[in-house]
Amino acid sequence: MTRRRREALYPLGVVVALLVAWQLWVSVGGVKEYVWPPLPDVLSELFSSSELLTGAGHTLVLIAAGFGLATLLGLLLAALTITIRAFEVGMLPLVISSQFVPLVAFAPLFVVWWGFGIVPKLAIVTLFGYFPVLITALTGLRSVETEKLYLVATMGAGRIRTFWRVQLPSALPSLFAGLRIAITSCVIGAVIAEFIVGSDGLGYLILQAQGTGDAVVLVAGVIYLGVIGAVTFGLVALAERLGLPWETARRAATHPAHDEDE
Amino acid sequence: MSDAADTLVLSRPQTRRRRTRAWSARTLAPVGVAIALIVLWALTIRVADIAPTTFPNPAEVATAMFERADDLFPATWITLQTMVVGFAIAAASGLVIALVIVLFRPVELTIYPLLVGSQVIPKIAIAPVIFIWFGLGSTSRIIVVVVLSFFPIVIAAVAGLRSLDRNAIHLARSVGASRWQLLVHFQLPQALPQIFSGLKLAATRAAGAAIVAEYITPGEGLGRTIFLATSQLRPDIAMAGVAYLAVIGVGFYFLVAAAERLAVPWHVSVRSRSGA
Repeated sequence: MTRRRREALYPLGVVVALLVAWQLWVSVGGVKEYVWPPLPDVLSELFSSSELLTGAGHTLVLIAAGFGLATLLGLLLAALTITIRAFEVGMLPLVISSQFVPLVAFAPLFVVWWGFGIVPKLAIVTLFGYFPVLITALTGLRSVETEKLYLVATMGAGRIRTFWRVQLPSALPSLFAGLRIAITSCVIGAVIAEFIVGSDGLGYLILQAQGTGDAVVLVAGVIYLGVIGAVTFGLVALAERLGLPWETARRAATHPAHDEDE
Repeated sequence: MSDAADTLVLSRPQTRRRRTRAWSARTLAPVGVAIALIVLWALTIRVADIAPTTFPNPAEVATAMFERADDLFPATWITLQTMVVGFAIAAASGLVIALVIVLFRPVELTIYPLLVGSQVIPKIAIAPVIFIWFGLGSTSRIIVVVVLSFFPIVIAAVAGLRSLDRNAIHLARSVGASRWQLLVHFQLPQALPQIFSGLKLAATRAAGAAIVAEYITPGEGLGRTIFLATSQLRPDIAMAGVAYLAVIGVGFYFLVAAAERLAVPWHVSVRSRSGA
């Protein structure tokens, strides 16, 4: 434990060194303020700007709602895939192939169809996040032991009850792995949505700051987004820890690679 | 993401004959559904009487693809260049850095945790910073592509290079292999499957990154064409542009997949024979 703690200090040291280099570069190297702002200015902007705080609020709402929709859509498609054979054969390959095309290209069209409100932004975030949920949910749902399915079938459970009571709980460990990927994809989706649809939020603010050459707001906004990415990921990991304590304990106790293979 | 897709697409072990039949059913069904969806799209536009300035029908998109080819081809070329150059730089630098991380313990201890941690940070957010530093031209767009496709390559390559099993290391050591020989003859070949899954993920990221970079800067390329077309209420041209993009996106992905087939034929065949 102490060794692990000591090893955590090294990357922290790099971060501190980078911050010092940043300040030296600006104050000694004479870098222009619109290119790279002084550290104290950025720090004071971080803690005093109400504009950035409101923007962060908008972005967080967008991420949360989009992540929820992405999860629902991923689960719905996974449920359709395992219950309807025709969907698995006919639709699933199309959904998978669509991942080779950068779907973000549709973003400007969303604005034509749904205007500049939250709807096109939600659509973009959902599009970014649903796929990992779908794939990991499928992996999990298919990993259910056949005996369990026979058992509940003999006890008279229908498809829907089997899904909720047996298949979904067994799929949870795999699903959470997908949710962890999905939340980071949703944060990326939210930034891009705010870049393109642009009416509020941090993505909009930093793109504007680039236009006006306000490097302080720009860098502070980027730091805000980094924190949001880390915090939202942490929340999903925390939810996993609370929801599946045995899974987290198992992973910590055993070597993950060996455990998965055997 | 793409690796999961591979596993799902590929079928279960079967006899050769049944495999061929199952293969054709597996290909024909989605093609049939795709055609049905296009017909449904055309019918919906006609029945609901939707204006072409809102949502064009498939015929109008196809027409735009041919009539606007003079604009779309050069734009596609620019986007393709951004994608490929950015991807190549990301692949080269990603692999070098992965090697450095695996070979030098101090680098592994200091830099690698930061690279892993940075996965949760939306790197696209620094695109505007890049535009300030390097201007609004093609250099900046290429750097955006590099930044977004670099990380999956490094992470996958480090995981692959580390995954060498202990027995192989002992064997190599006992026959007197040097650190360098161990790397070239054992670690690199064994890491190739994971390196390629990183490259394939990066290939899909590169196309998206190039388009986003073109959306948020005034300039050139397919992203610009699509963006301008939507603002001029010509979604038919925009969707034609998306179709061109789809072609280069899918083409580029399969080019990387073909390279994988050449570099690690044993892995691809093993994967396609093992069950989904």
